[in-house]
Amino acid sequence: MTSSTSRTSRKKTSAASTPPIPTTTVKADAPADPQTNVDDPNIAPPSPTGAFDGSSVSSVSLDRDAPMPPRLDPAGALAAEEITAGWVYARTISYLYSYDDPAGVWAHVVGIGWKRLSPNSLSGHSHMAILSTLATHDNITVDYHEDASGRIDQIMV
Amino acid sequence: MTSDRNLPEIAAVRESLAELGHPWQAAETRMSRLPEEWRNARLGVPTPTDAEIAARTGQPDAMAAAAQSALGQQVSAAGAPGISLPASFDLRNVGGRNFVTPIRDQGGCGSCVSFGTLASMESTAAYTRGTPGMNLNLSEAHLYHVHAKARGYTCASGSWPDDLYGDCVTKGVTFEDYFPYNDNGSGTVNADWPNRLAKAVGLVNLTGNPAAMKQHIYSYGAIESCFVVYSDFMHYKTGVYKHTTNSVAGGHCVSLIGWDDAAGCWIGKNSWGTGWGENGFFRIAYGDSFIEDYPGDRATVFGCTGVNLRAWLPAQRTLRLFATANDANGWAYLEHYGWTHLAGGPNTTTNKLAELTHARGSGHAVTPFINGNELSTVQVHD
Repeated sequence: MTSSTSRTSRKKTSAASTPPIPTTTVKADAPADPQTNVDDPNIAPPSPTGAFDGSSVSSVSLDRDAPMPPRLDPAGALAAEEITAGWVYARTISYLYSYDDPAGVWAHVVGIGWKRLSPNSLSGHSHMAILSTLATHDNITVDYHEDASGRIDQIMV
Repeated sequence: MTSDRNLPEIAAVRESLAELGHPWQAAETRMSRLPEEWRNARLGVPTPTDAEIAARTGQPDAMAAAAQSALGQQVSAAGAPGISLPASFDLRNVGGRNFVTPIRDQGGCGSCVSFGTLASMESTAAYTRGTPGMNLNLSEAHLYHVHAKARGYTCASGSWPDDLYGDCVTKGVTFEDYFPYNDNGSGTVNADWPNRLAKAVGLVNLTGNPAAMKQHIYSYGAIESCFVVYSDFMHYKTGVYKHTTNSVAGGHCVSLIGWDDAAGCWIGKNSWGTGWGENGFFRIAYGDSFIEDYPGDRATVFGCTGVNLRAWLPAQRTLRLFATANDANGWAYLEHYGWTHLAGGPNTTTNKLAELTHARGSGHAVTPFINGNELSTVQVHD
């Protein structure tokens, strides 16, 4: 239901007769990059940067120690051999709860109860919160993994 | 219709095949119709000497035995579809999925090594990601008319796979649309080619080891291999090829995409168009024509364990998203690419995840720029 509400809202916006023209004001504390003019709202976003000699075709920011996603078939479904211990599959998140802490998001899993998102890193916590929000908003089931303390430390939507 | 000129030649092959119990069928193919010098122009691996061939007496039987004995051998690669080598395997049908790109045509140039190499890379790129819809089409012209040319190779000289596969590792190869293939070498590569590039990683020498060849095909996709071409090969129509004559026409390079122990053969993908063989494919007996180890000193059977890209890919759906409690560890599963790590650190991962959640929820397509298996840039469509 929520996803259809979202689509309806977007269509109403696009149906407006004259969309507002972006202003060209640039904040004084955000000077334009002379190479790309990235702060100019009237130009296209910059092309990807990097070495142009072909030597940049390598993985540079991947943390090899971090968990990798499970194998999926071409349709994005979980491969049968990837059913492993510690994972909980095809669950619905009905509520989210956030309190005044940088890593204070909990998810209510239907049929299981409240589960805290692991506070292992602030960015990772936020990323899992984003995916939990998508799952809740669009009624998409999730697969998640619990750490030894029963907290969600991996989530797939 | 068979031309008069070819009738005696094909008839002679058929007589020999009858004596062998018809292991394969000879018929007029598009190669049969060509004059001998034009046929041989397509054989782009330097011909071995008589002494080099004579030195390999006994190799075919040994290789055939080694290929058969690999049945049931344990497989350790995580991406393989099983834990042991099966009796037959075909990358065109892995659980109903096809990881082999369409048959190409090298024309009248001895550029077969370029075609065999890139057929292997195209298959590996899709197979290792589990995405048969990837349909990568790499530029044989770039590999042959630029990289091989820089090594001094020409259409007439032919080339060696260790050199060209090595160039795919160190320099990379652009996509077909940035340098379409012409057998006369005409055209130029798009100056933006470093931004539309594929590089092979994990190059493995498999020469002389049929079990390792099977392991690699099963675990990582197609490999390339060279073999001695006998004159009857030009008339191959269907069946399991075994040479019926000792008349050597030259050396050739193809990709191997599977095997069949019951028939005792490898399954190969040629680059002579669909008007030759089994719609461009063929089967060749284990050990025949020195396909596991080409006569001479050079290694001639290679595969790679992965293919990294630096390119914009076609617009496609985001099917799944994945994140963990680790710092900056976000992933997106793209419909025709598979999993890609979100590049750039924690803040850009947050930005990309926010955009991709919209695409995932709405079904809107995204156009990804992949850099070394990571999602560098993404455009979300409305």
